[in-house]
Amino acid sequence: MACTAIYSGAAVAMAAASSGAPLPLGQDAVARQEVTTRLVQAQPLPKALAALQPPNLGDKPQWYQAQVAAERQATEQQAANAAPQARRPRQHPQQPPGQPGRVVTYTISTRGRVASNQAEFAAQVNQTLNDQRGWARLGIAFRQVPQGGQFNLILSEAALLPQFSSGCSSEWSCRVGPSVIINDYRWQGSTPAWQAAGGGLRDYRHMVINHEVGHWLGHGHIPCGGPGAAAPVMLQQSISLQGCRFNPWPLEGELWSSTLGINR
Amino acid sequence: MVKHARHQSIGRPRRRWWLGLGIGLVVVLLLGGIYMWWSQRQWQQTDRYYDTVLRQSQQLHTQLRSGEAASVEGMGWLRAGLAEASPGGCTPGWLVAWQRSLVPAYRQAVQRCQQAVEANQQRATALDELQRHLKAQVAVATLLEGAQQQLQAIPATDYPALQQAWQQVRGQVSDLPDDSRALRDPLHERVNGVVTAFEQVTAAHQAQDRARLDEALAAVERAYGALGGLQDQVDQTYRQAIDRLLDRV
Repeated sequence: MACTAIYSGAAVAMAAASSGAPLPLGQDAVARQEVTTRLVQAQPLPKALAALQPPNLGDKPQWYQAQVAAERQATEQQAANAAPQARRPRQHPQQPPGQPGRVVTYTISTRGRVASNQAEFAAQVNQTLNDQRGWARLGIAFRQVPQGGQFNLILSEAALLPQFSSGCSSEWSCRVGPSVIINDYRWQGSTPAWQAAGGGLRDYRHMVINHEVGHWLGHGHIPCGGPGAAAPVMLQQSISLQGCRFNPWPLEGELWSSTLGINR
Repeated sequence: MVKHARHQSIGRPRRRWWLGLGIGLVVVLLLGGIYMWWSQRQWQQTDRYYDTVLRQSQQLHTQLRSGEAASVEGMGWLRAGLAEASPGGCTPGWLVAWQRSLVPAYRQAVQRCQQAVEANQQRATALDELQRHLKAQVAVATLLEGAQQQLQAIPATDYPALQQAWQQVRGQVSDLPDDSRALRDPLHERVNGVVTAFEQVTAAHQAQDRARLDEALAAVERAYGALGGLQDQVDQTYRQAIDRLLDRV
């Protein structure tokens, strides 16, 4: 009798505990998501990492600027000697206005196991590079060649990115010398920061090509100009927009190339 | 006279025997009653112990949903709520414990209580792990915020000063405590990447080699990118720790 009383007491306690309590978090997907979100947002590291931006690497030391100026002067002198007629800015002397005057060649290849459609990749690269919203505004045309291009666009398996350089990460795309390497994983799905800003995949692809080719053209990273402003294409938009609006195309102020000797 | 005396001598031992038996029975009944009362109390104690453990887990559930865990301190409070319990607390002393081999209800009560204690111990372990992750993040975030303030004050083309500042950061990362190793080691590797890149920049700057400087500055950008990419890795580990906790709550 006593045993039954005790047992029933335990059973009642357990029943009260289980019936009065909400569902376990392991079974309540909505509550679980809420708790997870709260805990994830409590992390202090994302904010600290996002704030850690490189210095403005577009700023160059005086000796560098002097060398560039000297080269520009020499180039202009040569051009003046070769073609005394009036020269349009950012325009090849032999081309009519609005037409690209200089051809930049590039090759396309892949590295490792690539899941993306390579023909589509090549087509989208060509379209982006020659889009009149992009670097083509420098007065240049980009042409894919089978070999011997001025730069090499490589669609790479994410895990192989670090093989290009110790500075390359499997997380992002990067540029090493004449190699412009696009991360296949990101090419297929963009990045969380981009998605959070409402950017679509096609725009991400425009941006990542313009950004990495921008490095080849001689650009460093640029910080956001201010909250709500269009992001410079050389801002690391894949990581954080820093309050800017996403923008896949170079801004007017970015239309120069130290590699090609095209100045602002 | 003699007969009478004999009669008395025979009757006394019999009465004593009955008296002794009576007293013995009373004592046995009394001891038996005390034992039963004591047993009951012991089993009730098991029951209360189980209730306490259940309440702790319910409290954890409620506090997690209310968002009280979203800080290192909050997790500390939650952890304190999961007082140390041991499965031994579910079993009464051996003088009583044997009864569970006779009474299935007792056996089930002990098993249920032990399962609840073990579940709470797993919750406590998962909570400890999560708190450790968050503590490490706080330490690293504080370090990086301090570093960023220092770096911002350095002109973008003062490469030797930037290199030196990053070397200091690397040293500070090395000094992080061992319990933040899971975060410290990958961070150290990436900060080292930034230092190496700035060493290349400084060398190119001193040699006034423009091509090398461009290459080295590109390496700096990539190193910063790799540093930013640390978040994905940290996030993944942190979410796994959260899942391990929530699977048990």
